[in-house]
Amino acid sequence: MSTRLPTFGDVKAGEIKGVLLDKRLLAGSALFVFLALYPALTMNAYHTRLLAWIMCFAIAALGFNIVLGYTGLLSFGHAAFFGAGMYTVVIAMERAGITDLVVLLVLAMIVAGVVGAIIGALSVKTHEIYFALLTLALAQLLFVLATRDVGGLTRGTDGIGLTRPDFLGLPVSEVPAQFYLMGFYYHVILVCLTATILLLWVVLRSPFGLTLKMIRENETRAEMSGVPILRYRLYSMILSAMIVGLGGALYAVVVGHITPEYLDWTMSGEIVFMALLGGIGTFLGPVVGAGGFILLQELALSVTTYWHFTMGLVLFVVVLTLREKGIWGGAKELLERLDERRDNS
Amino acid sequence: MNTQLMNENNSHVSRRNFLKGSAAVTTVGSLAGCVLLEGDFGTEEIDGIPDEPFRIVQLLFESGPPAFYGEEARNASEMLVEQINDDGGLIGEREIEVVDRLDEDAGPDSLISDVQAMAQEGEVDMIMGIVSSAHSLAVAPAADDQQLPFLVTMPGTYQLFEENPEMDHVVRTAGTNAAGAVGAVRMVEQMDDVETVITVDPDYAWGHDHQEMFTAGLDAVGADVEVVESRYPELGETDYSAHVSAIADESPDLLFSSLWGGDISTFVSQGVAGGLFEAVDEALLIGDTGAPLLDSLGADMPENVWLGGRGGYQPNYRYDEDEAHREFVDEYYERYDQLPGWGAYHEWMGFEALQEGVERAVQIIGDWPTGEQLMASMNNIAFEAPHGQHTMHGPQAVAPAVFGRPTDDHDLPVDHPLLGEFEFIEAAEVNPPEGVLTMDWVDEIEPMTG
Repeated sequence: MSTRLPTFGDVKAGEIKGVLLDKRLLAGSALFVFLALYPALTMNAYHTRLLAWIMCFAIAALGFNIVLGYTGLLSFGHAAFFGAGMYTVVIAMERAGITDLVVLLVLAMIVAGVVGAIIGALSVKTHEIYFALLTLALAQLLFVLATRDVGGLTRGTDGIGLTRPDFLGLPVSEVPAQFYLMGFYYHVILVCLTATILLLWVVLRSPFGLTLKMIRENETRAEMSGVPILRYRLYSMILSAMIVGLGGALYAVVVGHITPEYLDWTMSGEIVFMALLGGIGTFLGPVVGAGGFILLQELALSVTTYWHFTMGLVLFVVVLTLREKGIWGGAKELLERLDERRDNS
Repeated sequence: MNTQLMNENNSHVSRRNFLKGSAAVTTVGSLAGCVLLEGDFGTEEIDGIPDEPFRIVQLLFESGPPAFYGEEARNASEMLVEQINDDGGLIGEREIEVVDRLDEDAGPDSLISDVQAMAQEGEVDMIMGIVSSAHSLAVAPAADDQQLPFLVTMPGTYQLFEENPEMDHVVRTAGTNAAGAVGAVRMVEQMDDVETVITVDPDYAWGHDHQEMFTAGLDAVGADVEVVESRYPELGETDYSAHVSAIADESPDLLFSSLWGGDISTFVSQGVAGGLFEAVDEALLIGDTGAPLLDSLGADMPENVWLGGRGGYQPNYRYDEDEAHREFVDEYYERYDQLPGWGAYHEWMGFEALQEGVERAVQIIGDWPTGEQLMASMNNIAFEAPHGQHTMHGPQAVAPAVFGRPTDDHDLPVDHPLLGEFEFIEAAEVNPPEGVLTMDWVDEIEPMTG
């Protein structure tokens, strides 16, 4: 039986012009330029690092949302992909002597994808809580391997430090740490985030992405339409893992020292929280969630010793009141209501 | 203040000259340090002492299971800063202010960001403290990258300077975990009738490092001892009954453990209930154990144990002989109604090094030191500690090992046992020579002399 899946259809010149003049695209371009110039304009290394941190986790949360927001599977094992990306970078640098950033990032995505394929193959047949627990358990295996320092690769819970990679033969690692981050690495992360957003924007609106949504909305109907559900779920896990792995790989260089905590379930929990906070029902929600989560943590830490409580309370209220819309969806809804009210008046 | 001077140095002096200056401070300081220790310090000719206080940010656990360690460090720092300021501050001229405390429980991501922020804003003269070894391995290189002075006071991982030998803005005043583990080997060397050992260590790097050093050390000294089993309970374990039963069944001659904090307290408590200490002849509990454990166990504390670790940080150790120690213990007890634990002692050593380092640097360069000069001046110094001279080999302290047995025979105003029958093992017997990697040295140690 053949299945007709949704397609983009023909795109004409007028439509292209319309896309280019799209308010969202213009706003996104302006934001990109602003972020690209931010370090040079402010010369603020702390803010630059904070933005780099947020962007790395934004990539991870976007990747995670492929599985939760688009395929409808709640994974508690995404720390495995994040940590796999991190450890791939550090082990490839230390053991294989690979120092080129591009090679390292590609390698990290491949390794994370392989880990995603293995965990996915073992877990996509299950649903809901069983899927969550199975991904959690499988990811914890990696955590245990890292804490046990199997093969002497990870140096156990004390973790392993890494040096700065070069870029396409340019010895950028030799510049001082501050300049490396502000003048080079921050922009690499920004470009990776932008590329991830664009890639996912296209992919999730392609037949592949729409099929994932179909599976999320009505699995039985999708199955009866001839969609190979398990295969699509596996694909979404692999794609998700590769993007989360990219986030981890980029973050490894920012943090400079990697411990098994990045493979632990608490890291999976943080990624889930980021996606929920921003809004799993929206495309850019995870990006907003990553920013909100990290800024909230930094703010709470700076004002109170009860920062765990403060964060828990805020997250509780946001998730309870805004649900899957999250901050981003809630903000969009608020703006729409204001527009409607303005139009009515 | 000093931040301003640091900025001026950064902008007007090349890094090479800056480093040369620091190297000169280190070299000259090594020769002059002993003289300065004895010398009467005058500040009337010193220019450039900043008007504002010397600003410190402390890094310690304020939440999570290790928070008790952080609380001891916080208590001690509050007390010591007040005492130093009552005497006019550093070199009697510049007061100290702890401007902030960062909770280590936030994790290395947040700590490194904060280091970046502090370096950027230039309103902190030094960061100090840190409990977790893993955090120290992450934060110290970041602080060094940012040229932010970092006085590491508590973690014991021997890898800190072995993995990062080039750091010139970092100094650690805590002894490494080698002192405790090899100290235990030295204790076994002196014991008769020990043929079988079971090790129980927390299941993370601290525990594995201790077990590895202890067993390697026993092999190296040719001790006729067999480690029959090694157990690794989870960090924060609440139920040790399975471990207790298994060890009791095996009845080894010696139980060795680097469990620390709440873990060792729970383990010993459940071990007492399970008859563990009747089944073993001796126990060496070396995970920074002392007054807090004795306080929590009280009269239940078994007698056939040795407690201690990397330093003589026991309230009644050399209490009568050492006036500074006596004052530290008395003042701490008066303020907090408890005896100081290891977190407090580690912090005390940090402040001793800071005072000594500032005096030495100012005496040599005749001006208030930059951050790098201050750190360099803390290299290769020695100052008084409860166990005698606390010596720095380069940026790393080498502590002796001190162990004792629980006893009610003490004069301090607490109703729980403290330690007695102290065994002091000098630093040279439990630390590698300068420049030698710890594990290489442990594999080759000779039987103790004398």
